[in-house]
Amino acid sequence: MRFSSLFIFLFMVMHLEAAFIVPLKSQATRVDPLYMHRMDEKEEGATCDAILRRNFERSGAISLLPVMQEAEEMLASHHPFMASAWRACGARHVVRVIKVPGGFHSELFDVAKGRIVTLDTKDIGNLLSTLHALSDQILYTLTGHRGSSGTEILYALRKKDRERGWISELWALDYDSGESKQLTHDNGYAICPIGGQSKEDIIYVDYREGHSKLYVLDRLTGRRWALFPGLVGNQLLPALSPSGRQIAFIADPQGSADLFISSFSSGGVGPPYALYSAPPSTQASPSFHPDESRLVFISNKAGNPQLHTLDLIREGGKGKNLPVKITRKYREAITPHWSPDGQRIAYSAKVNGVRQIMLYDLIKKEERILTEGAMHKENPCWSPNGRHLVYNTVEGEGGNLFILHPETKQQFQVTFGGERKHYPYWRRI
Amino acid sequence: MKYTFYLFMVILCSCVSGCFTRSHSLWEGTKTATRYIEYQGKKFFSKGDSDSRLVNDTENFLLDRERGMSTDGVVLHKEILPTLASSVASHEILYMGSLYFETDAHVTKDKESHNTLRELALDLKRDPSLKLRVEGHCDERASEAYNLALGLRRARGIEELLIKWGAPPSSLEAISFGKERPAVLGSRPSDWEKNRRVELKLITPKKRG
Repeated sequence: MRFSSLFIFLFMVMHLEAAFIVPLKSQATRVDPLYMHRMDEKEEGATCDAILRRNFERSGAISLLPVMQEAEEMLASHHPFMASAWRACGARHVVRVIKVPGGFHSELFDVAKGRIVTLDTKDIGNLLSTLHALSDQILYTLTGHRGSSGTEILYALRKKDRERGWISELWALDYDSGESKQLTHDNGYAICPIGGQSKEDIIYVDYREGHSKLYVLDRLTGRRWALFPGLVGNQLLPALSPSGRQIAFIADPQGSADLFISSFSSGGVGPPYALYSAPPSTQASPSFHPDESRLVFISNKAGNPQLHTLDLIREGGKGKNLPVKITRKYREAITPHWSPDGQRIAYSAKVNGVRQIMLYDLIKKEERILTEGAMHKENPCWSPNGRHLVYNTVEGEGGNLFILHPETKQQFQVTFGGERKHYPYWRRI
Repeated sequence: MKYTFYLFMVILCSCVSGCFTRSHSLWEGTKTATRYIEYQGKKFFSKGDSDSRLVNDTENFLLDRERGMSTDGVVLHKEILPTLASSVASHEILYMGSLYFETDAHVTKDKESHNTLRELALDLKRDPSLKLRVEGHCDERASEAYNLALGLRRARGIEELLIKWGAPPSSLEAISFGKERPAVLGSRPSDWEKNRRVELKLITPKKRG
């Protein structure tokens, strides 16, 4: 009886270990409270006020205080910036934005230091773009962090055509205006866009010749060319190093999906070579460390796909580096993307059967769950300033792009409609 | 004490057997004793298709006709191959058929299917102008990006068989669409079955002028 109980106990313990997934507590980050003066409602003031508030709320860099009657009265008085009064209101920073001919004039008050900074922002033609630039300028002055204005999100849009079946084209979402623009009109199958070496170049995967190959598209001229025309087989899932001097991708010239790398310069690409191959396992989704000394990628060498890191620099210039598995806790850890600060890796993994966006903290060696809900979420990609992530949902035939702040877990949708928008890539333009 | 030893050995064997794999076996799920026991349990009680299971190379693909499914195109069958070969001049791509796979499977031991593929390999060998595109497709359960890489394994598996049986490598083109182009939309096991496939397309040389 005692032995039977022991057996049942051991069996249950093993099951409990697999069945219960305890999410780690999110890291609390201190953000300074900011009070923003309510703008005059004349001349699009209400619109400007709403856009600026939305930008501040979404930034994740500050916490926006609600509009308060006594605060508004203080700002209208002869002594608008009294540190003690603002401290009592709980504000760390106060911002007053006034629309002036040809742009905006802003006053930023640092309550702790008792210092006032003024900014003048010129109207750049598009109100939304001007306000994005203004909010970024304010946030940079207050927090020292760059915002996301002047960026775009590249993505692929898949839809079913009556005659051609499934087709996929490349699109770009302008972060400032929120408008999407179609980049390719081939009625073919183009996926996995990433930024190229210049602001006009886009590297992507195209099936135009049968095999999937890496192409470069110059969006100014519309010219495109194959990156590795001599490499037989398929080429998939490209990743460009931050300096643009190396490109990693997945190719199968020897029959299995292996990790390849090549040097990249304005003169063209160097010969590609297999960085890691372990048949019959499958490798996927490389991403560079910001200092380009390491790569993170997916391998199912141990059975279940998990994140592996691989040093690109060999100690003493000799030998062969081997990948190190870094995630273990959740199943199907896939599509990693290394943060610009090099301390975190965003990826997607299955939590209770649903793919969620995750974060691997390289310092604490922790795996954190960032999202929840029944919809599958995939392909996380960091914003150029490293403050946000963009990812796509997968919902039947469709799916849309969402932006997520990893610390506050606040998120908002940026694309709409029934088609599948996927493989997002966020870059500065 | 003696019984304790035997009991300990039984538990140990259960654990070790869960971690046992061969070089051609792959886990779709985590390679742990717990998952193995869970899968075996579900299998024993016939709980249907589990999303985590051990797969080995004896699990074979099935042709359309064997599944009793209707197809829009031509079912891959040795008798119709000559007809196809003689009529391809007027077409660039001819849909030939789909091969369906079990979860995570990419190899086949099925005799009849092998014979059919052998005939096809011989046809490709006889007529060098024929090209065969082997498109690997996956069901929706793994992620988009990972499936692109996984689909290669399925397409390459069939390509390797065709080469082994005489098809010139230059006449074959193995590509992967992952789960980009599902045959059917849906999240039921029956929908997944229809999407885990290799589509074979016979391609003629492009017409000039």
